[in-house]
Amino acid sequence: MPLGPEESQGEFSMWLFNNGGDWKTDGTWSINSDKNVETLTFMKKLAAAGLTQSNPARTNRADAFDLFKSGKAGMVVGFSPLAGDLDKDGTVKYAVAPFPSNDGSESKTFGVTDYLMAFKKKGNQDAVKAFYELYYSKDQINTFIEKEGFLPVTTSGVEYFQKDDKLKVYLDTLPNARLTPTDDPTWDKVKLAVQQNLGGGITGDPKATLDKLQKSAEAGG
Amino acid sequence: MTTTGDVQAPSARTTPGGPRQRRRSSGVGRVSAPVALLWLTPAILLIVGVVVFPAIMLFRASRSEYSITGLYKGAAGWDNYTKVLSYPDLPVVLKNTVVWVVAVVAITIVLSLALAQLLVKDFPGRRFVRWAVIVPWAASLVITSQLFVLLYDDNYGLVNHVLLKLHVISTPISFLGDDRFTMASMVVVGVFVSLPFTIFVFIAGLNAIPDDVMEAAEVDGASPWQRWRQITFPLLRPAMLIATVLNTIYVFNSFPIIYTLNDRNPGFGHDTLITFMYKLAFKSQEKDVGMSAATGIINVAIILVVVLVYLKLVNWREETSR
Repeated sequence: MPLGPEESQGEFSMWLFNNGGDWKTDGTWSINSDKNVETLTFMKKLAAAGLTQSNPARTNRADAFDLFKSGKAGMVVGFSPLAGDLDKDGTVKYAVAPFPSNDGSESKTFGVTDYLMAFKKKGNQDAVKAFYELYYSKDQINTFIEKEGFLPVTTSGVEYFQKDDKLKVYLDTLPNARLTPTDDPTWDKVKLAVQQNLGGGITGDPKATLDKLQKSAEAGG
Repeated sequence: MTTTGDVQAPSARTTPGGPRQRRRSSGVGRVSAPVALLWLTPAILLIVGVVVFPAIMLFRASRSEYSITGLYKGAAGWDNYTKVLSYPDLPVVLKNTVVWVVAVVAITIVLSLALAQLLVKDFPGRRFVRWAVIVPWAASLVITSQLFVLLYDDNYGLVNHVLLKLHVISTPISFLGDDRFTMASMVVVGVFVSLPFTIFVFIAGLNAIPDDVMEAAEVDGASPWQRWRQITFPLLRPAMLIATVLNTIYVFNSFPIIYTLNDRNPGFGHDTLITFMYKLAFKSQEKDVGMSAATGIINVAIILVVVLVYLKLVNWREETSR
């Protein structure tokens, strides 16, 4: 359970999405919603009971992956490239399963977003449109995703990758993918605040930590 | 007394007569201003290019406002300075900085004095030991720090392994993740990498102490402790001065050790002013180049004041005019 500064917003996202929480609800920040406080309190309980690696509040994601790779941790919230590494090393036997949800609903997976940006200039729109059409055409996108070890984002892509048994669990959860609010410019700052402070909710008070993050998000980061 | 064999009188080579006369008439160590300027030009260009110019740019940046992507948005006056000085985590960072600098420099000096004393003595394998002492100095700080991260690790670190096997502890200690150990663990690494330079400053200092003074003291019946306390130690003052001032500056400015060993810890709980400055620009939610630049200016001011106060305290002029 890595809640260190490297990627704690990602780890927490997966837990909170599967407890029915979210970073934003109906356009306003809901970082300290009851659901999220409940999520972080639950995570704190896991840590206090000694069910996680030591010091989850101060473990970076890469180190948590190393623990799993070396057989020191029995379970890790991973992603497909980690599975690739594990296959290459061949040191631990593992199986992939979707993240369980608290209310028994379908598992929600965490989608990472990157940007494609273009300048707002006359005539550019057609070019951007043409690029997107080419980029997301079956042959282009599927080849790219296959080579990079990513997961498909289009319906036809999901069909195309069904042939790969290893990806099945991932593909099944993909329609339920949830994203962090990257379209809100404040998120860039909120993300950094979460990375630097979320661990404090495990060593200290979960509610106070989330309250503080909520306040700084409302203030514009 | 120890004879090292490499003690030679450099004056033995100058023959009396012509050369000495000529040198005296032209005045040893004096050149005309244009000649001096010619020789100094490359150095001056370098200093202007890599010290003065960046310093000016840093000052300008510290009085500007930037977006989180680093875009210049206009003048900010002294806003960045007020924001840094009123930053809630600043007191913790200042305390960490003082603890870090004082602990590392003091422990380094004490250990180096002892080790240098040993290394000037003649013993079998001295050459090897002296080489071994240089190694931490030659290795990159990031590599050294990363090695210590592995040594300290609570799951597969060697330190915990040994302590567990010796039954000193029953559960592994998280040296870098447990607040009680983090600073101490970093200080150990800081001392480790500062030792080589300091030891060699002291070795040079010890070698510069004339043998006849020691012999005279011995004849007068001074005990070893008295000889060390009243002759060696006072004569080591110039070396002590250099070691303290340079180490203070190096240790204060040390980035890789703290950044590498502390990267798992959220917030600013174990940061010094240097890593604080970096995090303000790249890791914190402020992500503000302007505030970071202001911290940079404050850092330079702090280290200047500290060094000046120290030099004042030890009567720098008196020491160097000796």
